[in-house]
Amino acid sequence: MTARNTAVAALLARVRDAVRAQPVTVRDVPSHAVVRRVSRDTTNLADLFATKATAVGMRVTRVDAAENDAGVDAALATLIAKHAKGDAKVVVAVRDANLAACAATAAGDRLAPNDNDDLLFDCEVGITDVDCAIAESGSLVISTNGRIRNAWITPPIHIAIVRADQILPDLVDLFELRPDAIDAASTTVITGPSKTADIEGVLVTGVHGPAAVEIVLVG
Amino acid sequence: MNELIAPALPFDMKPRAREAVRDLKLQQFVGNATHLKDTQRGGIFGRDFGPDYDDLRTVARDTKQYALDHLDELLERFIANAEQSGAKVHAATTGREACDIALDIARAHAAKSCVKSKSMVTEEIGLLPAFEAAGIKTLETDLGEFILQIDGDAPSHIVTPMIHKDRVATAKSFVRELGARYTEDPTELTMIAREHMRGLYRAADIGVSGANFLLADEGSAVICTNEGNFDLSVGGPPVHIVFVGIEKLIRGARDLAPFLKLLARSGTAQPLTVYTSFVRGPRRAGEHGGPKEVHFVLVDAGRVGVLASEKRDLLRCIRCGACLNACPVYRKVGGHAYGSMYAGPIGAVLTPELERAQGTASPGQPAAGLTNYPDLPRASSLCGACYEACPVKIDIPKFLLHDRVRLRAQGLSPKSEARVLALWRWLAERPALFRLAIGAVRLHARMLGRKDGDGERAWLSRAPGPGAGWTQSRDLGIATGESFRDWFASREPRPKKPGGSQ
Repeated sequence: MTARNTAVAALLARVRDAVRAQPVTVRDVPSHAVVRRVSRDTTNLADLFATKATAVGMRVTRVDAAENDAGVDAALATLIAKHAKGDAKVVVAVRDANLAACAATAAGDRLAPNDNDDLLFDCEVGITDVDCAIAESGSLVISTNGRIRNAWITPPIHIAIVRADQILPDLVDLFELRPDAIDAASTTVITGPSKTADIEGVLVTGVHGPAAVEIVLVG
Repeated sequence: MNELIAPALPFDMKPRAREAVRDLKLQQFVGNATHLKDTQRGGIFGRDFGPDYDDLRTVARDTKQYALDHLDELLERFIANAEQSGAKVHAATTGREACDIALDIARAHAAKSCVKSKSMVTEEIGLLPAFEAAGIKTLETDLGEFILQIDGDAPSHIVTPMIHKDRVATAKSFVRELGARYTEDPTELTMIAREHMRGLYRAADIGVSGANFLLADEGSAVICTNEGNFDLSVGGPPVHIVFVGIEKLIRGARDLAPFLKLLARSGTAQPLTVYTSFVRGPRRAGEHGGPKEVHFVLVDAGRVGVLASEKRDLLRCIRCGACLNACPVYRKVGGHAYGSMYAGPIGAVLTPELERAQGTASPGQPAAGLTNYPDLPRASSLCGACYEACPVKIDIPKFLLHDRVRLRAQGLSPKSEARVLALWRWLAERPALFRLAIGAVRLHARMLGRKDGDGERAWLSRAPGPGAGWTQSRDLGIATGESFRDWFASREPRPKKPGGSQ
């Protein structure tokens, strides 16, 4: 046994004794029903998600599902034109092959290689899709499963493509219905642009992560 | 370690409290910020949970208590699952051991630089001084912690560490330490810090963070930030070390939602923190970026002792800071008066308890704990605002009282308190004298007090003798009406219920 294993075993033994030193007061975890705020029966989750995402400071561009890829192309092109000036680079970290092609087309010759983590610091815009989204809080759930890490953290602008059928009603559903989303080496639930209020409580966005999060909501 | 949060023991709170009360700027910043956060907290819970708020707190209380009552099982499961994902799990009995584990890892990688995400447990174990002493240049990446670091200052609030500092102090530090141009604009100041840190993230050899929750089922850590500094400090360097107190364990993701919903609302009145990040082991085959090694350092540093004690409930704390914002004493004296990284009501009970459990008393000294922090149990008006604000329903006033009883049993209560109580007891045992004394006090108060417009209540602006301390900063209300004894004597006796035993 290594010293590390010995120390871990010793901690476990001490915790075992400590647990027994007091009576057990809670034998079963209570029902979490009260935690849920948005019911699974809710219709029009896309509208609720758009409202909540806007409320936490993200911007939402709606694309009609009927417009398909052409609509996504156009929305991405507009957003890239808005945010990427000069020779700014765009990194595409999109798992869905179809959407990845759309993003690459929209990025054009601004497209940066997406297999070098270090280059991300030089990119102005990161485009990702999501594992899922949460209507109740307006959150994006993005994992490193099939996406280069940090593409949604390092560039000052993050563009996220969300399909309406990826939206879960409540945070509770992320853990109940989509445990795979947190099975990656790293997953981040994003609820707004990077922000701080450390200096006199004044809200400033873009302190470490993106100052702006643009959501392209399809459907 | 910084003397502000790791003072010489035994710690005397009074000089620091006195100084804080005289510091008008501190009064203004801390008073306003805590009042605002407390009001916003009430607002968001009212809007989002309404009458269900109390039930939500009960669910969180019992879910966390379950975890503590079964911590051995959960810990075993966490260790197995984390190692399964390729992380390495370490255990440290003391803060010193935790630092040594990290130093060994750093040495194995010849690390020279470190980026650190905000973490209370690393403050507790003194990681930063240990790294600096070993020549590992360490950067605090949370903006508030960064400003405190370059100023040699220390956090005074669990969630908003630089609540006691203003933009002018920040502007001056940035000119002095970073060579920046002078600006008092918070946005510009933030951008200066951002630019300063970008290159350091890129070059760092090691990333360090704490964790808000550990998930036993998944073997993952959950870290909540608003700035995104955790994601950058875990995503850049090849090695990441998570320091975490063992009390952060819960069963798994299935139990996480209530805590995430409570944490951000209680701390900063947000529905969720901007970033809720899950770490499940190192980067996997074929992945670009992310640490090649992930280490979890499970820290005891007194927690096992608290778990075994009648104060187990304290380990439910999720470090949201709501009790600090709600506390009338914290609002007046600020965080540094508590002489610990854990300030406010929860700090007042937790600090002596962790200290006692660690048994850090000098050889030959009696059990430390309260001996070293005799003022903390009294740094409260027992108004109960902390209990009402606590998302996991820790009955802080009960534990403060418990500590006051212990103080008395250990002979640590002030002599004046014992004298007053002895006098009270002597009087209370002599009804005639008692009546006379109360009458004299009432007469005095009526003569000295000034009446409200309606004449119903009277106020004393300057109380005599030992009461003067109270009236220094507020008036003392005095009873002007009939006394209870007179009222009771004059009242008609209630007719006895026929046949009843009452």
